[in-house]
Amino acid sequence: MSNDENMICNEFEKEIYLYLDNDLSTDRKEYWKQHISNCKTCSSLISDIEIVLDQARIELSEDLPDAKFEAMIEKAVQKKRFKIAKWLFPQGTAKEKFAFSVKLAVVGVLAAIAIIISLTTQQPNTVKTISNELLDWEGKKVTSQINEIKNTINLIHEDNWDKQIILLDQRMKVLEDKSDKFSFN
Amino acid sequence: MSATREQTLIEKCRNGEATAFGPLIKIYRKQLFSYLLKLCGNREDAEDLFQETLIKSWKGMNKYSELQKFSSWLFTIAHNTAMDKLRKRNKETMITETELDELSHSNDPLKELIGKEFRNKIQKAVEFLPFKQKEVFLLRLNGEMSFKEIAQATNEPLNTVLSHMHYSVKKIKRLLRSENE
Repeated sequence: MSNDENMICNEFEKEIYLYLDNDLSTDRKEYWKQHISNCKTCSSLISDIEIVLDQARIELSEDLPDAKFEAMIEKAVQKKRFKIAKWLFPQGTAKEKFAFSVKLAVVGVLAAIAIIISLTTQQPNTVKTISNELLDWEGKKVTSQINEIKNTINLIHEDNWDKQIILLDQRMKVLEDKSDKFSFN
Repeated sequence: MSATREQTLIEKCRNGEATAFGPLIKIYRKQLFSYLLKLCGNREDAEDLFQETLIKSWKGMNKYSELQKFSSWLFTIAHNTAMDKLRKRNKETMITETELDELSHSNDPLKELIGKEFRNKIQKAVEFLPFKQKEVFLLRLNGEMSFKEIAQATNEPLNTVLSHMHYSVKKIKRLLRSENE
């Protein structure tokens, strides 16, 4: 094979899959068609690829059992259940159901512990506590008002109102005397 | 099954007719399962991926556009689902280029080798492919996708995809020849 021919074959090797996919322009496809008909290397390259793919397709074929396939389809199309319903009523393998039982048992134990703790611990009555606090506050307010009144009374006492009245009397007398002096009677 | 029948089933699925989904998937059931099994390497994972692909495709039926072949759309979903799982597991079976080059080269026509315990050999050959080559080879083989579609599904340039295919076929041929010597 000449160097030129070799180059053409290498070029074809690069485009062979596009040729097989019919993804080349009409001219290019026609050009390769011509080349293949005259080139043993390239025509056997195509047949080798076709053989590998055909045989691999047959030999590598695997399948699922019908029942399994049907169950998978069923699972794929089933309506989406609410998460909580799914959690509470699981459907599935024994393993999944066992996992659910374990979850349920754990939740049950935790709930029981919470109930026991709440029953054994003395909790302050919040309503009662607030009422007492309000009463205390009201009591303090009344007491402070009483004390204020007492203080005022004390102040009054301390100011010696009797003396003040006597002084006033005296002042009145002085004023009367003065007025007598100015009288023309 | 004719294209018209497939189209009718697709339309029914889009209208929410669950009974049409089974027959529609059944058309590609073998190819889809074979693809997933060869890609991930074990039956249990392949079944999980198959189930996940079914759920995603049923949910996404309304998003399917006729501009794309249904098989390509379905295989793209399967491929993305498998890639997510494999990425999580970071499980890629690889064989080095050198290992494959060490295998003997023969120019015997491939036709002569067919029929000699071919199944095991081709399975081994595909299993030994580097992951990217295996991915492209299997999408072409099972999904019957064009290389342009494979490039879109794998998010790789067309030339890279063509190169992966070229090397995968070359290596499988080489491996098959070496096994027969």
